[in-house]
Amino acid sequence: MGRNLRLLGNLAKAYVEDKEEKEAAVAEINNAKRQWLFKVGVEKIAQRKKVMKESSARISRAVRLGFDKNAAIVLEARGQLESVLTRVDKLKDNPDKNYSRKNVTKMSKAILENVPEEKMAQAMNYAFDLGAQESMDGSKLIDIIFSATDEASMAEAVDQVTNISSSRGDGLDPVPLNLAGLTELDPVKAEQIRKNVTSRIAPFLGGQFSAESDQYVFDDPGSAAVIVNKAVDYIKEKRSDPFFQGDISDVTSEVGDVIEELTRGQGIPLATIADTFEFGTNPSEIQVNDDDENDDLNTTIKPPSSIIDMNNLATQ
Amino acid sequence: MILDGPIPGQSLTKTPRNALYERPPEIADPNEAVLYHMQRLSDPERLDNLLYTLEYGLPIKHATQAALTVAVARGIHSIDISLIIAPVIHSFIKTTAEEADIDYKEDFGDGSISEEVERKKAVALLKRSIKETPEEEMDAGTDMLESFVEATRDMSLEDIPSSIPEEVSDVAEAIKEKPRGLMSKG
Repeated sequence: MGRNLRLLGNLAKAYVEDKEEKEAAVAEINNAKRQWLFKVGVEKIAQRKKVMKESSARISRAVRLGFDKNAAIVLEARGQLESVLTRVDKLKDNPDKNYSRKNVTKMSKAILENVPEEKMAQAMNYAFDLGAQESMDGSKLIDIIFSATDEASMAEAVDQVTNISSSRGDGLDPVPLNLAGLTELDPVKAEQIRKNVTSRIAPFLGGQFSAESDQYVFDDPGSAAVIVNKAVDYIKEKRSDPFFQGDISDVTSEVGDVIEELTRGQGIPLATIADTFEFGTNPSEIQVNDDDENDDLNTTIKPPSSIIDMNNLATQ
Repeated sequence: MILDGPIPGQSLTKTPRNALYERPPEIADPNEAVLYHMQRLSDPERLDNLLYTLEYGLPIKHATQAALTVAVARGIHSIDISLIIAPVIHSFIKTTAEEADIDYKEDFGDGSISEEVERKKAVALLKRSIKETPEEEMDAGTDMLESFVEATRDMSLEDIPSSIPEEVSDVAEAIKEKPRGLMSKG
């Protein structure tokens, strides 16, 4: 009897010691954890929360300035929204710059159209179609996408979403943006562009400067006017292109070179150029001869940018 | 789809006991396993990443299952031990999130979404957390999240029972104990 009691007593003692040992181990880990949490952790977490809030705030601010929410998210994902907002603020504060919300909308559209991974835009459109309209941020986007019932499109979307949410721009490279395109061209500058381009191409259009009238006089004024207007429109279009990264004077030179090649190089009549040639990326073909069967006799005019070296096609 | 699976007998072409989970686990005592996970998740390098990920919206259930699945895959403990200790690890992560004032989730929504969707959602949140970790803070914590991503793709997403098995009840009680002494006054 006494032996059994002693055995039970030893077992109870061992249990208590084991329990105390476990509790001590847990307490030690918990204390170390709490020490880190109170000294460093809470501050670090608050910092991370702040970064998340700032990101959402930037997107909201961009929307208030006229950016499309999708475009703002793309810019944020690229890590360039903050710098864009700073520059837009400067443009907005400067009355000489004619900041235009219409042009902001245009840039937003261009940003979304130029997302390199088109599926990412699809993912976002998908989310917005599903009702994402307010306080959009990465996690909300994910939530909305996952509320979808179409698993195949959702799976595609999710893979893209994982590339969106970084405020450091992982997964998306920044794109150069032409913020001058956010402003309207004032009439004085527009007139200056017309003068510059006219003086650049007039010699190739048979124009002579008349000091008397202080303007160029052309042999074929109708065709010359059409060509000059097209050139001016082309330059204006370039200036408002959200991704244009160059100087307007370079575009003026490009226009001059093209007209010189068409008139002096290929000897194409002004009327034909005026009727059929378009600057930019949508070239029109000029049929010098009416014989469609014989390609050798046809002269096709394209802007320099659209010319592909046929010998190098294999390497493209 | 059928052709994606292993061919009959393919498993015999691999060296037996080569995978960590084919060997006897390192820890056979559930209490020791709980302490192993507590120690690991309390490591400051890992704890910050775990808490950030909970803040981004990864539910505690998924964090728990991922930690347990990784340990099984690495041969630390068996699946049976995972089943025993899951409620304790869940409780530990939950208590830690509360102490850190994290706005955590227990699970995704009302359980109406499929497991496949849950996995993808969890993977997306884990990846987001990794991506938003500044380069200078890339450490054992981000490695842990990477391993969670791998584990999440195949892990079980069954609900974790709230009742604590008797084998680990002492440790579970100790986890819930409030701090004593000076720290409790902060």
